[in-house]
Amino acid sequence: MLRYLVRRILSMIPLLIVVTAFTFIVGQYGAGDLAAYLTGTRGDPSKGFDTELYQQFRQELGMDDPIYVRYGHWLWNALHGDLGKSYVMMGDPPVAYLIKNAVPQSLQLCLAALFIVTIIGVPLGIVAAVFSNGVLDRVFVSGSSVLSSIPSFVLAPVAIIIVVVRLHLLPSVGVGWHGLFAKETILPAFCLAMVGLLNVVRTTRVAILEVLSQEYVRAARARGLSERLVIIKHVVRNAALPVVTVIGMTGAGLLGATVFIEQIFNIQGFGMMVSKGLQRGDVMTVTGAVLVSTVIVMLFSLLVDLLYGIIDPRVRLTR
Amino acid sequence: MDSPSLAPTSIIQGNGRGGPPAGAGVLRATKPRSFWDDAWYRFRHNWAGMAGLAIFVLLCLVAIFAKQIAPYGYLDQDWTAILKPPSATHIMGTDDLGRDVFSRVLMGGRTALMVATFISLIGAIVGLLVGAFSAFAGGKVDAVVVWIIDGLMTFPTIWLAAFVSVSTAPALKNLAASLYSVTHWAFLKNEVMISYAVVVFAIGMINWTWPARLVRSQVLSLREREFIEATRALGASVRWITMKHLVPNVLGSMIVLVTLSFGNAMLFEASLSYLGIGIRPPGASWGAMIFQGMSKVRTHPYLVLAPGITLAVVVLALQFMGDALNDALNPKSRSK
Amino acid sequence: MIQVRDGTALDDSLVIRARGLKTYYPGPHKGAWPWSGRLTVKAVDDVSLDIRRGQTLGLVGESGCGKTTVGRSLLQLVRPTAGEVFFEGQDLCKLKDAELHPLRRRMQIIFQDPYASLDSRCTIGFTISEGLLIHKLVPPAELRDRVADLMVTVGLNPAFENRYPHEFSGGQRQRVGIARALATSPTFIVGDEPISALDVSIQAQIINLLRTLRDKLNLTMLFISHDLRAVRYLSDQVAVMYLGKVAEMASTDELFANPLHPYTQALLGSVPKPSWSGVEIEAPALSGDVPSPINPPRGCYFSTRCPRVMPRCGEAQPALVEASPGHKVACFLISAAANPV
Repeated sequence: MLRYLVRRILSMIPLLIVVTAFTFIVGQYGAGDLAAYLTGTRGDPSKGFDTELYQQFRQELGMDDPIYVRYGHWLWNALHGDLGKSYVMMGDPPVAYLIKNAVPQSLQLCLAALFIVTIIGVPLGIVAAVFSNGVLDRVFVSGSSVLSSIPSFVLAPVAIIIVVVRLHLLPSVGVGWHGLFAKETILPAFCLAMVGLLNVVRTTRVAILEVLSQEYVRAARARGLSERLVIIKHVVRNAALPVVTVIGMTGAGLLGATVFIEQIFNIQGFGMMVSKGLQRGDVMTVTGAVLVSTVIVMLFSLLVDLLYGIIDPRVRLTR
Repeated sequence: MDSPSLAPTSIIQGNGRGGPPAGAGVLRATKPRSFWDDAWYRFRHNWAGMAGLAIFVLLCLVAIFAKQIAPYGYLDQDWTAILKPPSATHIMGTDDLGRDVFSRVLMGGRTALMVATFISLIGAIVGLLVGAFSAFAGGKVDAVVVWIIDGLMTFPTIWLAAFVSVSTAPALKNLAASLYSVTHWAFLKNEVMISYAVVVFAIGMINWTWPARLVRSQVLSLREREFIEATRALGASVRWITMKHLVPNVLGSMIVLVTLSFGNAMLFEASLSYLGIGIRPPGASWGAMIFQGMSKVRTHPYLVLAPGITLAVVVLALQFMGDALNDALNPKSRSK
Repeated sequence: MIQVRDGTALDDSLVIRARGLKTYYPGPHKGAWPWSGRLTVKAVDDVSLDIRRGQTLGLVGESGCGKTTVGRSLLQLVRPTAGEVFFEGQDLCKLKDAELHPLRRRMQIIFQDPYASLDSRCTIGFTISEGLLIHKLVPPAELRDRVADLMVTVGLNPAFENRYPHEFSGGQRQRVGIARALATSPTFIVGDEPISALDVSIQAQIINLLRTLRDKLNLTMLFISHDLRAVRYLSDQVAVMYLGKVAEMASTDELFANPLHPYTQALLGSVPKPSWSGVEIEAPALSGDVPSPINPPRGCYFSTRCPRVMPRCGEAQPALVEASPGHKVACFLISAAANPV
């Protein structure tokens, strides 16, 4: 078990290095000359282009080193919690500080969304499977297909118009984060949850159908167990594995969609940070965010794998 | 050596389950229904798929004839009609610059269709090549490719596309500029054109993973199938096997995947444009229109709803079409 | 009679001559780590056999004993790890893939599963003519006639040439598979359990078809099967395989009349009381499972299940020796008596 854990974590490292190296190198080359940008914005405009200042900035940013040395530096510093500075923002705030302030909101939002998508998606999938090919099945599957296909930057404003502006069901969305259990969180979490709904419903449905056709379920029915008991006792437990996988995989998608949801609902989270960073061409912030989000997604998938072992004792964690 | 239990029968007679004696060619075989006829039959009887197809065809027509259909130029500003709600003259209203929203939605359709066509073509070709190569190479090459694909897929794809788009835009612009100095083609100086290219490149970089993974797994499973070995035993070359057996067998799944990835590409384009890093302002994009309308969503919801609902309907149409194609072309994988 | 001892000149009538054929597969990893070495699965381990022109060698054994791999290795569909395979005097193992392609026309295979071995997206007409197209054996104008001839030969209605495999029964599909194998006029055919996936009522038809075609076209055959009755009906020689090795090999009549290896005796004993055999063999039914070829037992591979096991069997492997002319056995019961080492 411990050996498996160590192996899993070790196997993440190369992927992490490739992803961050890719973003770092593409960012450094693609975004243009940062030193020139700084000279242009910080230098004295009356002097024209200040070559001395430019050289100073190049020195400070280590831009004369070859790219792999710079990446090495960056990675080494990142291991010590230093992700560089965001030169685009006022006062050159450290990227790590920005991320530290942004991540908790987004994680809470994602967890809330994950919770919602699970408690809605799994029951819908089960019902759809039990009444497969019936009216309920079609309504649920195509309904969740509609909700998941609508991009969140369309779904969210529509939801705001209907729920907040017309029906006054929920309070108007203010600025910032109101906490996990605040009424203001319901709508953004709900809109975020819809991103993964179809996946969860579909997978649950197929998994349940699969189990329903198994011999032991037929045997349980033959023993005279009521249909409800059969489904609760045998089917749900055996279908849990693929469902957990899909919920785990939904996590990454949800994190991605926070870019839109946080902007629309004005939440100062990770997604907001990334979307602003992208619009401003703030390479250091985005590179740091890529690193952190990759780590988050990987830890999440590790968690899902461990959960496997708990649900299904047959999965020996030694592969 | 003859054994009484196996009474020799004339080989020409019995032929399986009650088939007519061979050589008695009197029985004209009914025209066989080919695999594709059968698939079309199944697709035709799927109303959601047909509706999706109809909407998609409509979108294509509208995109091609956008200039002829649009009542106003998509950039024409009418200062007497600013932020007017939908009416008989402007059926989707006007925006804050007095531009006709309906005309802009039509042009946005053209943009979306054009970008998505390129992206899904690139995705299908790159995916086919990478997937087939990986499956045939096997061993370490295959392991590395799978590892890269898995890595890309665990990552929030929209972020990666956005990041590539932001960081390659200057480089592509430089490339276009230096190309222009040689060729003097006007479109290389067109900012909107360059932003198209950036979007196509950024999303294309990410979007090949699905087809690659599909092709790889299909080729791997097909390669183990006996009919491929039978063809090998006949002395067929790799090219023959690929052209006559692998491609036709993968084609069905590829069609489904391209349909689904087409909708996906449209979503990606709208997403990037929404984030302000996709199609540049004079170009019309649904995503950018939604973003511009968002600040006035409480007072002028139609600014968001018109492009938003259009986008949603088109994406859904492609989704339904893809599902119906899947049911029609892969009858075995049908989710019961 | 089948054996040509090493050193004798290669007989022209010898179509297939395999010497020391070994085919190993990479097995599972030894340890949990991806870089830890792999075990080898010895699917075929040192098999030598000869088939004369027009003769049929039957290959029998339980599933997993490597008999299918022998067929695949002879045809180079699986490249053997070691050994020589002479096909009409040419060592196939030394040829490159491209050099093999033209030769494949003359050696064909009939597969076990008539469902998996036909491409469901091709008409049976195309499937049958594929070999002709690949080797460009027939001018396009005559292709249809040739396919129709072939279909009649195997007992199919030529009017069905445009139909797809899913419209046919298992037996009819197997006829398509036979027609495909015959299309290029091969001299050597491997029948890889061609009847075991079929209904019992169809099996007799296909067996008879194979026998008639073999006699008519003077085909040389390797007939792989676990159905002893079919093997007896079709073969001139029989080889019994166990865990990748040949346990016993003799002419059909000799083997069925006088089985020497305890494994052969057990196999024959497992056939439901044969009224046709006229031979009463007192052999207990086999107990236990076939050991894994990844980790075969020490000594004689059969020693773990052998009803007549001796202490010696767990120590060394018995060599394949000639018990009587043309009758080879790998068992210490025989070799000790025949030529004591």
